[in-house]
Amino acid sequence: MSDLLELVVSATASGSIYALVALAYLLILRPTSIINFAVGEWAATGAFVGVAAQTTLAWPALDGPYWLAVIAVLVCLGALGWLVEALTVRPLIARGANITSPILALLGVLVIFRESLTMLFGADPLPSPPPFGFKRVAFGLFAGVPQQFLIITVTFVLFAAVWLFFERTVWGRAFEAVALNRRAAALMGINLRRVTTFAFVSGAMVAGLAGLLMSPLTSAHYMMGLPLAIQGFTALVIGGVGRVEGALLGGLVLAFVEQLGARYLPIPSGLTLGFPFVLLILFLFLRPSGLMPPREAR
Amino acid sequence: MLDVSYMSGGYGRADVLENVSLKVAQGEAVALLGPNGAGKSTLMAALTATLPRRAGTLRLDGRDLSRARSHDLVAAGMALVPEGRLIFTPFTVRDNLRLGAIALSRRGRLAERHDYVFGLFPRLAERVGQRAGTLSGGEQQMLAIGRALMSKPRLLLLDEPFLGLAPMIVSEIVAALRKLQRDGLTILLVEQKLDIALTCTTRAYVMLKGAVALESSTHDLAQRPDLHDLYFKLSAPRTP
Repeated sequence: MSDLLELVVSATASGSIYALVALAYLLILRPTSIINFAVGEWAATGAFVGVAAQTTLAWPALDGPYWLAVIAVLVCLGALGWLVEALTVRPLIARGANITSPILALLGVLVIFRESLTMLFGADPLPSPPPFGFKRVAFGLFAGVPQQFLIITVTFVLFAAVWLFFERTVWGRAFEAVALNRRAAALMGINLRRVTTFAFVSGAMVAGLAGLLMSPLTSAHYMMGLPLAIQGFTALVIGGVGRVEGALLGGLVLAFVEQLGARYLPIPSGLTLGFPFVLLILFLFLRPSGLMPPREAR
Repeated sequence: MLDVSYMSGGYGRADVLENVSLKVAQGEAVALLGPNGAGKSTLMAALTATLPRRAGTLRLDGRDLSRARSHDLVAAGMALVPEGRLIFTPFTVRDNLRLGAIALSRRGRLAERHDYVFGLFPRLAERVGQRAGTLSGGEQQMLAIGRALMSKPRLLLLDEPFLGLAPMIVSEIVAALRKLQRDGLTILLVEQKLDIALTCTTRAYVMLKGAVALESSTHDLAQRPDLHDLYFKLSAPRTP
């Protein structure tokens, strides 16, 4: 039983990471209709920036508490998200390019990020110091390492905040309005370019945070981006692209299927890597709108 | 107030509009008439910059806004009630109106705008918490107009607001437009039917094939014996 409960903690933590990556996709996809597969690499970048900030690799002055690493990741990734949007997406949209053009351009960005990470930090995994150590902690029946509880807490708080932003603030409504109908949103006086910029900046920040949070459990590695991109995308498809809650639900469902399958199904553990794809195909065939369909089609 | 000269533009590579010029004076209510496909809605899209303009100038109160983007035009005091209404159907009436006011610079004016719109269309006040998609067609049109009014525009463009509405609702909206005009709002109304345009505008432009074919006071237009064949006559090639 305690075995199962520990698995619940571990799956919830992994699911939270997937959910954060799915949220990064969603923040960009909703207002712009652009699927940005580079979010996985942005998460990897977040992990490396976090390690660099904490281990004084780059800035000795920043050898300090964990929150400095958090700020460094948010600032760097926000700036990178802004730069990527300004250099690749904005010129294409301004020239009236088809929506597939920015998606392809962002695949190029994915490669650039991965190769830059290899050149800057090398091909070996870098251990990332956990802010609260590796001592096992227990909350009632649920036990795990502190990092797992940190991941879960941050993710749920962040999702609550994003949900409140979309549902309760006028700018959140404006984002949704852009997702529903760009032309009508422009006629309201919403600055579409600013919304696009904000989408990329916030998406990059959330992706970077996901990488930073997971790195103490997995180390920062230049190959960590692609699996995250696939798992996050799968979580998005499972949950449905229309709602913020869907990303969280999708991430959790994916992680529980993965971990319960690895634990209890009589298959070699390596095969569990295929679970996201199986779920992705199943959902695309059987329930393409996801578990939480959008409130209304455009 | 609105001064458009030699405007051209269209979708893709083809120009739909050809050197369209028109003027609307402060406080005036002008109709833009024309048959289906004359380019009236395309002109509305070009005026609000939701369609790229290839040539021509747009001035609002003398200010050159030829290169302004949509949100700048809203901030400058222009609002469009678009063809097909384009209200945000999953949102409540309240949220739709709030989004209409997103360009308002000062928050204090929000309550004043709400009161104004609810005074104009009391039905919207009754349905404020309801999802816009559940409203009747007439109420949706009222919401679309109310939403455009939330930004406190000085020039209101309306693109076929009466399309598909019952006669009762049409007269209700015509009455609202008359009240808006009395309150000093300048109006440019796109319409296909001459008779409706006659009830609430004083001057009219007739558009055909992407160009302005005729300008006249609506009164004179109504007196023309060939009124019913007007579109047909104007579009026929002139014989020397």
